[in-house]
Order: sequence, then C-alpha cells, then structure tokens
Amino acid sequence: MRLSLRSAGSVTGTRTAGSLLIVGLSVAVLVVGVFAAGSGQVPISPSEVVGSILHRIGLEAGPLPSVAQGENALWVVRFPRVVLAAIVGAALGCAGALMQGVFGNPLAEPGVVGVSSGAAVGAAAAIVSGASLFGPWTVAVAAFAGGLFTTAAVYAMSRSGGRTEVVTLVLTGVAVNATAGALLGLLMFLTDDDGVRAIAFWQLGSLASATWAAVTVAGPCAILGITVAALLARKLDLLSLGERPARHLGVDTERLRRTSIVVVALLTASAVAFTGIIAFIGLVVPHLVRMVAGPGHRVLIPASALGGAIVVVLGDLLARTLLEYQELPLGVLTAAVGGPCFFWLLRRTRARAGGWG
Amino acid sequence: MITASGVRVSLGGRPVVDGVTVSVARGEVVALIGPNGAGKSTLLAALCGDVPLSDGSVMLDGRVLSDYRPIELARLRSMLPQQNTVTFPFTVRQVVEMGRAPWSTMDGVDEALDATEMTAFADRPFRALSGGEQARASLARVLAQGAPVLLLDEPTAALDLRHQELVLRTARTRAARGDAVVVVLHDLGLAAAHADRIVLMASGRVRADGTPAEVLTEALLTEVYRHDIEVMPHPRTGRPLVLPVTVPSEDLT
Repeated sequence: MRLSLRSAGSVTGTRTAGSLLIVGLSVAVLVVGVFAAGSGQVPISPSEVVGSILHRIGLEAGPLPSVAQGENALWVVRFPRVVLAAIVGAALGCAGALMQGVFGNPLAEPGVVGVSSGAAVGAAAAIVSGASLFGPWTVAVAAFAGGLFTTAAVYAMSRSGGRTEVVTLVLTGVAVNATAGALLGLLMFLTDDDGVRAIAFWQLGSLASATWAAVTVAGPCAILGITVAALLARKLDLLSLGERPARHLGVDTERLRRTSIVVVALLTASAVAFTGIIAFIGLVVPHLVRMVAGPGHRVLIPASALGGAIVVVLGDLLARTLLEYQELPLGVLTAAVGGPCFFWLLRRTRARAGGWG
Repeated sequence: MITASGVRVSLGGRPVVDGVTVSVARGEVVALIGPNGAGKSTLLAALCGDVPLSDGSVMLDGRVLSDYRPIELARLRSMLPQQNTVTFPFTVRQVVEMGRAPWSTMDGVDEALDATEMTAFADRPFRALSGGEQARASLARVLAQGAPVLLLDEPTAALDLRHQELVLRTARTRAARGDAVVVVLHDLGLAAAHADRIVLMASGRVRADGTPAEVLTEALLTEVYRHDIEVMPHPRTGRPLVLPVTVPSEDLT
C-alpha cells in the first residue's frame, strides 16, 4: 500500500512538471512575440504592442503606438514576420521530435529524410526556370512539392517486404540528400547572377519576405501537423521499445510510420517553403525538452513545438537587430548557435546517460 | 489456448521450423528446449505472429492468428524478446507502464515490479541498469500486460541464480492463475524443475513432447545435443537432474 501511494505520487509529479513546462512555454511564446514585435528600427513599447492588438480585436484598452507609422510597422511588417517565425519554429521543433521518435534515434532530424534538400531543389528549379504558374506563390509551392515528393521517394525506396528498416531509410536519405545537393549545384551553375543570389539567399534561410499570405498557408499546415503528431504521442512512446515489442502491444507500426512521415514532410516543407533552410531547430529543441521533461512524447511533442517557436522568434529578432541597417541570414545564425550547442548536448548526454539521447 | 498445426517457417529459403505441431493449454508452463539453431525462437515468433508461415496455421483462443487486429492480439498474448532495448531514457516505471498500452488502466504495474524485484529501481532510467536488471524490467513490462498467453524467449539468460528461480516461479504463478506460458530455456535443470511439459526441438522439428521425466532421458538428450549427458533423479524431489559429462582436465591434452 505504501508503495502504490508513493508511486502514484511520482507519476502525478511527472505529469504536473510536464503541464507546468507547457504552460510556461506558452506564456514565454507570447512574451517573446510581443517583445520581438516591438523591437526594430522603430521601437514600440510592449504595452503599445498589446494595446494595438487589443484595439484591432475591438477592445478599447491600452495605449496605441505613439511613433509615426508605428501601427503600420506592426501590422504590415512585424506581426506577419513574428507570427510566421513562430509557425515555422513550431513546425520544425515538432517535426524534429516526431522524426526522432519514428527513427528511434535522437540524432535523426527532418533533413535526414530529404525534405529540406528536396524543397530546396523544387524552389531553385522554380527560380531558375522563371515559372509563374502560381504567380508570386510559385517558389513556395515548388518547394512544398519538392519536399513531399522527395520524402515519398525516400520512403518508397527504403521499404522492402512491407517493412522499413531504419538503417536503410537513413542511408537512403543520405543518398537523396547528396543527389539533391548535386541538382542544386547544377541549377545554380545554369542560372544567371540574379538567380544565384536568390537561391543562395533562400538556402541561407530568412524571414525577411514574411507576409500575411504566407501565414495563412503555413499556419493551417503547421496546426494540422502538430495536432496529428500530438495524437500519435502514446504510440511513439511504445516505438522506443523497438518495432516488434510495439506491435506486441497493439501498435500498427507500419501505419504509424507512414502517418509520421507524411506529417514530418508536411511540417518541414511548409516551414521551409516560405523561409528557406533553417537548420538545427528540429535537432536541438527536442533535446533540450527531453533534458527538462524526460522522453515521454505527450509532453515532448507540444513542448518542442512551443520551444521551436520561441527559438525562431528570438533568432529572427537577433538576425534583424544585431547589425544596424543589415540583416544576418537566420539560417546562418541558427547553425552558428545550434552547431556548438549540439556538440555540447552530445558530450553531456553521453556522459550522463551512458549513451545517445 | 494456443495451437500450432503443421507450422513451417522459412528464413532465407531454408526451413527453420519444419512442420511443427504443438499445443499449449491454460494453466500450463511449457518449456521449449533444444540445441542452438533448433528453431525454438522462430517457433516462438510464429506463435506470436511475428513471422509469416509458409505452411500450417496458429490458432489462438479458437481463431486463426492472422484474423486478429493488433490491439486484440495485444490483449491476448504478450512476448518477451531475447534482446530488449529502449531508445530514449525512459524510467523503469515508464517502461513497465508501456505494458499497459492495450488497456486503459495501470493495474498490475506495481505487482509486476514487485514480482521481478524491480520496485527499488522504478525511478531509474532503464538504460542505466545492468543487463540482468534490464531483462527483469522487460519481464515486468510483459507481466503488466496481463495477457493470458505469455511467450518468453530465454528470460533467464542474463540472470543470476536467485532471479532465474524467481522468474520461473512467477511463470508458474501465472499458469496457476489460468494463463498459458511458453518459455524458451537453455538450462535443462530449470526446465526439469519448473515445466509442466517440455518440447524438445532439433533441426526445426519436434523430437519429443511430454513431461520432464518422459523427455529428459539420457539416450535422447545425448543424441540431440551431441554430447554425453547423464540424467538422474533428484534425491529429494525425484525430478530429473540433467548433467553434461565433463572430461577430466588431464585428458584434455
């Protein structure tokens, strides 16, 4: 009796810690968002940012931005950018957590299955060919199509006898990434100087071209993807026992894998399509969450989405404010911070848990 | 409860299990023994539904195995594999709770931790445990699943003497409650002491199927294991004691 009481306490404790983390991260997303929207060449105080939002939704509360063009700066430039940053970050963080669960490997990330490079080839092809089938949306649509096509191709190639060997899947992803890299190089070689600049900028990753239109496409994709991922959480926990034990516990592992890969492709491609390649979000954020809240996916998936949103909003803030009148490419910034951070995570995790993860 | 009829399984074009018919009833502990490569683990995988059969069928509770949905199967049979790994740093309790996935309650988790003497390790990360402790934690997960058919593939391989006995005693307790237990064993002494019935396999076929006294005979074991083996009755319990004949060290040169 004493034992069962004590254990009930420890389980409740873990759950409370998880809920606290999710509530804390949600508040942090809002705070960071308001702060980021107020920062820039035209500074606007947080209370004015909040006031502006309240007035828009019909509540006559709080001060309006006092500086000239403050309202325009917020609603035309800053808000779409901050909201898109949060969407892209959430999509990438969630996609990373999901991917690692499916691969059973804490080092897996969406780039591994070829979504990023496939999307890059699609976008570059649209830039080079000058196609305008979807008007200003052509590059984004092409990136999305390229990412989905590549993921489907990797999956089809790595399946044999109705099953997917994880090692084969990862190695096929490596081969596809190499091929996509060659295609990208070829496209850059074929195009003119303007094209090279456009592709290079897009490859480096940036939120500079964020619009409300981009938000309305990326937002629903991200919400759908994160919702489905959250519904898979319990099954992903079981998958960490291995494929057969998960099946012995009633999980249709093939279907779980198929669903997960479509969701990862949806999340990553929709994020990458509007901002180019932003590295390391899907790798570092789930690691950090696991260290705080443990490996359970019911907390890991939503917390990684929220954590990703915070990191990308802050990263973009740094990218556009670090140098005056200039913008650093966001992808370069996240890689510069994420790379060493990842090394540190590896060392720390290995020393503590005696292995990966 | 579970019956294999004329089961044939081929791996890489070679029949590994070749026309095996065995049946395990509720309340029974059946030990699967035989030399390396005899097909014990593959037969267990066939009973579990893990491998496609090239011939024959497996019936569970009156229905063909392939007719069940994964979740229905998970409520009827549990399986302890030889190798047990956990990818992320889940605690022992979290791993054991995963065994309750087919159900909506956490009933039996504490009992399973208790039965495997893992209660004190419940909050430790699974991967920080020793091999034997990991094996016990995995067994606790399988016990917590609460399925009436338990398939255990070498559950004693990594365990010390005390825990070997503990595991087989737990298997017998489950059988006494009406479950059907199939256990692959290499230690013939353990099989003799704990099994109600022993199935001796060799080269993918059943060589003998009966009580320990019927199956564990000197002539049969010596032939199947290709090593001289002595069998004598235990002075107190009368159960067979199985001893390999050892060569004195001065004869090794």
